[in-house]
Amino acid sequence: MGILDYFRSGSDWSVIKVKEFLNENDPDDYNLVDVRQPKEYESEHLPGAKLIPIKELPDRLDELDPTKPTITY
Amino acid sequence: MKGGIKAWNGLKAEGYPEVAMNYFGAAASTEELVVLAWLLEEATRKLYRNISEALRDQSLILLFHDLAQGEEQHKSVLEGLYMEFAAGTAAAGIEGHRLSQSKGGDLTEGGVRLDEALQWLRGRKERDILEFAVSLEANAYDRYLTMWRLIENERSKRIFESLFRAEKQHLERLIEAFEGTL
Repeated sequence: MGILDYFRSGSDWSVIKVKEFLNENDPDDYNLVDVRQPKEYESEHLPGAKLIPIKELPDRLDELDPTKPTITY
Repeated sequence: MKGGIKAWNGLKAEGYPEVAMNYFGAAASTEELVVLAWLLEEATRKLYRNISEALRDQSLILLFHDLAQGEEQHKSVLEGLYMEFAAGTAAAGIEGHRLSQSKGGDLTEGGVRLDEALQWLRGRKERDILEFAVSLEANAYDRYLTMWRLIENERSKRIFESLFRAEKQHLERLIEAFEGTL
């Protein structure tokens, strides 16, 4: 399974749609990933977001559940 | 998410939630995890009680009084978990536990020391106090959720699941009050 399998049906969600999704779904039912750099994450991030800098994503895919929707920012 | 975090106008947390592992790392057992969580709730209860006593707006006084009561309820849930996990082996309750004696409950659940929070809050406007409380709860939610995800032990996960779900409810009330000041 490659990186593209996680984003097969990817599309840009609006902030409103992301908010609705996070409110309506249990944290156990999705992956929320911050793909920025550590200092950016430390400064501020969405509560519950996991930090995986974009360059590290290919090597850390096993930290995400591919059966669940993945929201990145 | 379109626009990234710059477009985000919702809740934000700061710092690395994994630092909670440093605090909870002092626990040698699941029961001790509960004690440490209980201490955070107690410090936050004291904080909200202090805030409610310092405010003038009746609706905000009631809000922080209710939040303090909410933290008391969280403590009750944790006390129940403690008795379940200790299964009659605990000689004393949570308050008599060695960790309660040594840690003293000086850290709130958002990671801010109680005395520093009270110092900072002196003389602040109500909107600033609300913003501070939202930030505190957002960080608490972030940390508890992260702990829930990181911990594998099912009993320990139950502790953090109950906490992050409770914090989410507090956040909803605080955000509603904060948006009312805008």
